[in-house]
Amino acid sequence: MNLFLNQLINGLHVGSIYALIALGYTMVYGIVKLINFAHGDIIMVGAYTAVIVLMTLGWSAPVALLAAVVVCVIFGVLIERIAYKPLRNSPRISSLITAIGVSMLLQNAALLIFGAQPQPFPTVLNIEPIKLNGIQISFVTLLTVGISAVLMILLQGFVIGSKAGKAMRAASEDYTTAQLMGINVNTTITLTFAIGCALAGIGSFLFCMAYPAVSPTMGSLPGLKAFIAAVLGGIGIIPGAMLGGFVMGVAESLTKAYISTTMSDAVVYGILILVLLVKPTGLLGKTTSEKV
Amino acid sequence: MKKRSILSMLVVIALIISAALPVLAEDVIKIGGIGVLSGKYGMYGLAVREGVDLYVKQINEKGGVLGKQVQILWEDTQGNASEAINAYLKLSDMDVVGYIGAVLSGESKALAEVTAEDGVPQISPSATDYDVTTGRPNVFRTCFLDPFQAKAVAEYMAAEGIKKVAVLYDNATDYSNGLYEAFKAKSEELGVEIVAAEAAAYGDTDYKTQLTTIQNAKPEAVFLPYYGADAALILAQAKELGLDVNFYGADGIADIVDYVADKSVLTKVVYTDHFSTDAQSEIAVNFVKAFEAEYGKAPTISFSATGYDAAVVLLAAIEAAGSTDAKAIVDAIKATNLTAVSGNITFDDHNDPIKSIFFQTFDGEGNKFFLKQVDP
Repeated sequence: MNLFLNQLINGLHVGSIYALIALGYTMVYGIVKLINFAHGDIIMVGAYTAVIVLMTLGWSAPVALLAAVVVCVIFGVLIERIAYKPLRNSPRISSLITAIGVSMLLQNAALLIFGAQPQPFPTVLNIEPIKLNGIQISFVTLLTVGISAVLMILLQGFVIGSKAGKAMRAASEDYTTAQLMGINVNTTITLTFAIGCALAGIGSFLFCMAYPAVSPTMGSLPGLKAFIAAVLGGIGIIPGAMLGGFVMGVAESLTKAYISTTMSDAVVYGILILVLLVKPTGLLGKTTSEKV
Repeated sequence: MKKRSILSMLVVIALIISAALPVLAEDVIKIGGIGVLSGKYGMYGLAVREGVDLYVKQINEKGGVLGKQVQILWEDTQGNASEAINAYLKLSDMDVVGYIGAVLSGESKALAEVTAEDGVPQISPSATDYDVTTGRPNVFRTCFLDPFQAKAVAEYMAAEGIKKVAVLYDNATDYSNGLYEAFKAKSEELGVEIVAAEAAAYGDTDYKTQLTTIQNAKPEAVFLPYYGADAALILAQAKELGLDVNFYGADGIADIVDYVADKSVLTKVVYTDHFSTDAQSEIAVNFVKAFEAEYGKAPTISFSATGYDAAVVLLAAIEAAGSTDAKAIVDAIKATNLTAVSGNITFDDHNDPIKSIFFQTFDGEGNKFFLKQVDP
C-alpha cells in the first residue's frame, strides 16, 4: 500500500510538470489553432538561462527563476511576432511547419552555443524528504505539485474573470467577430504566448530541480508528452490540460512500477488512442456541431 | 661557375642523405601507433599516445630494444574505421614491426582485420569490445573487458559483506546489458541476492519509479552499470527519495564528475577503473612521477597507463623474441608474464589480459579517490 502511494506521488510529480507545460500548448491552440512545437524548446531556453544565472553569475535561485520566466516570455513573444504572425492568414499547415522549424532552430542554436554535453543544474533546495507512516514525499515534489496547482487555478480565474481573459475567450471562439467587437486580437494573441511561455519558464525551473541535467534537446520529450497531455484532456481547454497531465504522469509511474519499466510510453500512448477513439475531443472536450 | 653550382648541389645532396641516414640504416625499430587523436574521442587517443611516447622515450634512454633505438610513428584515424586501415597500409610500407592501437572498439576491429591477414602483432590499449581479438591470434589488448569488471564488482560487494543488492540498468545499450548479465551470473554464484532488477529505457530522465521500487526492496547497495551523464540524474533522484546506499558502477561511470553540480553525492559512488594515479606498486608510482615530469599533469585518463603497458608488452616481446620477425613477436606476447603499471599482465586463450583491477570512489570535491587494487 505504501509502495503504491509512493508511486502515485512520483506520478503526480511528473504529471504536474506535464500539466504546466501542457497549459502553454492548450492556450495557444485554443486561440490561434496552432500547435506550437517550439514550446518544448522554450523549456530548454529557460533551463539554460537559469543555469547561467546560477552558475556563471552566481546569483540566488529566486533571481534565476525570475530570469528564466522573463527570457522565456521574450523568446515566446519574439517567436510569435517574427515566425507566426506573418502566417496567420495562410493555410494552417504552413504555421505548423514553421513551428517545427523554430523548434529545430532553437535546438541547434543551443547546440552551437553550449555544446551537446549535458550541463549539471545545481541543487537549489537541500531539504530532507518528509516521512509519514512509511510514505515519503520529497520537498521538490511537494513544491512542484503545489506551484502547478496554484498556477492553474490562477490561470483559470484569469481567463474567466478578467477583461483580458474574456478577450482571449472571445478571440478563440471567433477571431474575426472578436475584432469587429473592438478587441485587439494581435495584443490578445501576444498576451497568450507570453502567459504560456511564462508558465514554461516556471516549468523549466521545476523540471531542472527534479532532473538536474540541461542539454539542447532536453525540451523535446517533455514537450511531446505535454502535447499529448493537452490532447488527452481536450486541446484548447485549460482544466483539460491539467487533467491530461496528471493522468499521463500517474499512468506512466504505475506502469513502470507494476507492469513493465520499459513499456510505460506504449501504455501512455495506448491510453491516448483509446480516449480519442471513444471521445475524439479529449476527456473534457465538448462536441461542437458545425454550423451551416 | 657551372662547376661550382654542381659542387654545391652535390654537397646539399650529401647533407640530405646523411641527415636521412639513421632512418635508412637498419638501426632503429619502428612501431606504429594508430588511433583517434582528434575530434570527440580525441582525448582518449591522446592519453594513449602520451603513455606510449613516455615509455618509448624511457627505453631509448636505457639503450633501446635489441641494441637499437625505438621509433614510434603515429597516425590519426579520427575515430574512423576506414582511416585505421589506410593508416595500416601506409605504415606497413615503412618497415613497421608492430602496432599499438587502435583506441576505440570499432576502429580496433577494422585494424585487427588487416593485421590478422599479415599476422603482425597488434596490441590495443583500450578496445573493450569482446570480438576485437576473436579468431585473431596476433591481436592483444591491455585493458580488461566489460564482463570482467562486472564480476569484479560482484566479488568486491561479497567481500564487503553485502548480501542484498539491487540493479538499475539500461536495457537498450549493450554496455549496460552486458554488465548486468555478467554481474547477475557472478552474484548468484557468490550468494549475493539481487532483490530488485529494474530496467530503464534509453534516454529516460525520470528514474524515480524504479528507485522507489528499489528502495522498497531494501537493498544494501545498488549496481548501476551506466555512463556518467545518466548516473548523475539517477543519483540526484535517489538523494531526493532518501535512498541512502552506495552505488557501484563500472569504468563508464568515471566521467560522472562532469555532470553533477553537487559533488558531495559522488562519495556514494564506487567504480572499477583500469588504473589509479594513487596505485601503490613501485612501477605505478614511478610511472605517475615520470608522467608528471614529462607532461606537467597527472595521468587522469586511465588509457595513458594502459597505453604505456601496451608499449611495455610489445617492446618486451620484441626483446624476448630476439628478432623483429612477426611470428616470433606474437609468440613472445602470448607468453607475456610481467608486472606493468596497471598491474600484472598475462594473456588468456582469447588474448584478453588477466590483470589487476582498481576500485575507486570520489572525495567530496569530485577528485578520484583510490580504494583498493584487486590482483588476479
